Amino acid sequence: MRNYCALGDTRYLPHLMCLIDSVRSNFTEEYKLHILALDDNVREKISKLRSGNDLVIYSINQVNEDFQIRSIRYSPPSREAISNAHASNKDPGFVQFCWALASCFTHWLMDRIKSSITYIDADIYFFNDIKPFYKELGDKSIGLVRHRIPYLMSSGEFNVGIVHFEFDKFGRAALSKWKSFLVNGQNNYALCFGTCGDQKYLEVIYGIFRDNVAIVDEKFGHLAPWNVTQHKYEDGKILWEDKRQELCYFHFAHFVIESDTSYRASYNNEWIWGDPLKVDSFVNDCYHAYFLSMVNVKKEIEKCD
Amino acid sequence: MIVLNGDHVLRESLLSIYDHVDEIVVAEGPVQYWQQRGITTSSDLTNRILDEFPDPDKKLRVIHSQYQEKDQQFSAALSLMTKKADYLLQVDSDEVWTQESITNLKCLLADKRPISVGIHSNTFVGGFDRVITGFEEKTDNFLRVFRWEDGCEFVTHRPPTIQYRGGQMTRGKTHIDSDEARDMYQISMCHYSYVWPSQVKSKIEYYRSKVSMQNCIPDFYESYWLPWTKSTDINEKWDLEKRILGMHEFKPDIRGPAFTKNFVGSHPSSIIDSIDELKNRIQRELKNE
Repeated sequence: MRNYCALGDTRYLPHLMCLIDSVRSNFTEEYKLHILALDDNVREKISKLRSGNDLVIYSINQVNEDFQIRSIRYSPPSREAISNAHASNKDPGFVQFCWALASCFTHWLMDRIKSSITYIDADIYFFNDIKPFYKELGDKSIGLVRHRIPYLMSSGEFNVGIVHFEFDKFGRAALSKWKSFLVNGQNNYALCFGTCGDQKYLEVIYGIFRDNVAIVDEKFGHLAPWNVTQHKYEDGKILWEDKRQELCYFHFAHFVIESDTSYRASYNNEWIWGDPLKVDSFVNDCYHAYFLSMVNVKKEIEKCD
Repeated sequence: MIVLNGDHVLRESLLSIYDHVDEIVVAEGPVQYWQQRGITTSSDLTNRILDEFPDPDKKLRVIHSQYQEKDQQFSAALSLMTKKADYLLQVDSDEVWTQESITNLKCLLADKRPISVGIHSNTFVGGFDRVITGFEEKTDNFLRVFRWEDGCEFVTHRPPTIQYRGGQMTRGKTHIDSDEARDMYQISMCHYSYVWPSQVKSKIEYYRSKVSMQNCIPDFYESYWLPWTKSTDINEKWDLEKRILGMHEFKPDIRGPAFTKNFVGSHPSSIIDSIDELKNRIQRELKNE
């Protein structure tokens, strides 16, 4: 059985519910999706609206019993967290905390369930089964995906949207290491790799555990608003560096619903490689599918309130 | 092992390693600091535990004496060694090993033949449920395993340092650090270090005077450790920790954050077997505070 984990607060409740729906629609292998609800509303709504044996919901109070994790909320936010929070009108300390939680919650969970875990960002939506990811992972202990953009020093090579750790010696060691960077802001790598929350530290993980890392990039197709211009589209497939791939997931970062009939793909035109909605009808169809799913979920939530 | 008034888990500590080692050498007695306060030997059950410890294989050797400092006390323990050893496992009287960890350690030593191994410490505070993070979890905060060769010498107890013949030192050569030992070989120890009032008071008194001097929080025991240990409310514990960035007697600017977290592993079997009595002792001692 596969274990997945994701987390979010009320702002990300619709995203989480869409994620759950897309997992349920597409995954064919037995799984458990572990959700960390960062507030009571998320816990209550998901329990009520998406209950099922495939879900395990954790309250933030459970994770907060680890005071090392809890204390991150009170640490000074990084420059990157401040800038991100400013763009999205959030509390920088909370942004920093959420970034740290990807590694901290995954580690906390692995300590308890003693199994391999794949972390998934809340704003990811699956269009197909995730099986090709594990096929490509093979016998490696850590699975990483690329941003699929020309290299940017600040955000690094790897995207935190999906990160996999096997419950074996290398997977556990890598996850411990990743977490340690986030709980200790003054770690030895902070100056060079602490520039994008938890994300750029994945480069350090790759550097240390290179022989045990699979960069899942050959047959496993994924898109995000920052990389849609780097792909080509053909007969319902995506072409990445001339590799024809089925789209497994789309990382709908910075997706904004403006009304029941309109949406944006960015907070404020921040995608430097262009507007994702002006690239290809394939991409637009993906966005539209997500939009419909989000609108329906939002209505469900409103009804429940 | 060196020990003075360490009866809290001494028996459990010895039991946890007994079947896995060839010889256990113990130097019991006070260093100069305690001698100056009129102490000549342990006044708790330490000596009785050492005297009565079941030793069917005749592995346990004990010296009772008085020492200048811990370095000399450790050397006194080593002088009791009678067998040709290949590794030295340093164990404090409040450190207890799970059978899994010590078995994994033996496999690691056989496979990799490291010159030394750092051991991750699950350092318990105020009971058996929570451990200290931060510097207590720092890589190689506890060096505990050293390759032992003819003619090598234990130079200092803190940090543990061995001098090999020809001046070759412990650090640097095929060393397995505590992160690697923990994450890749599942090796760690349980360190019942800040659990009982009597233990904590004595530790604080010694460290305040001898090791850390002005680096300790002056009212740590009364204002922090005691209310933290007595409280059953997780948020009260958090409020106390927020004030001193953790639960440790060193000042936060010296040690950095040292918050606590739930212990999610297993206690050693020798601890599980006597957990009720060990917990009762905490309650008995707390009543007198």
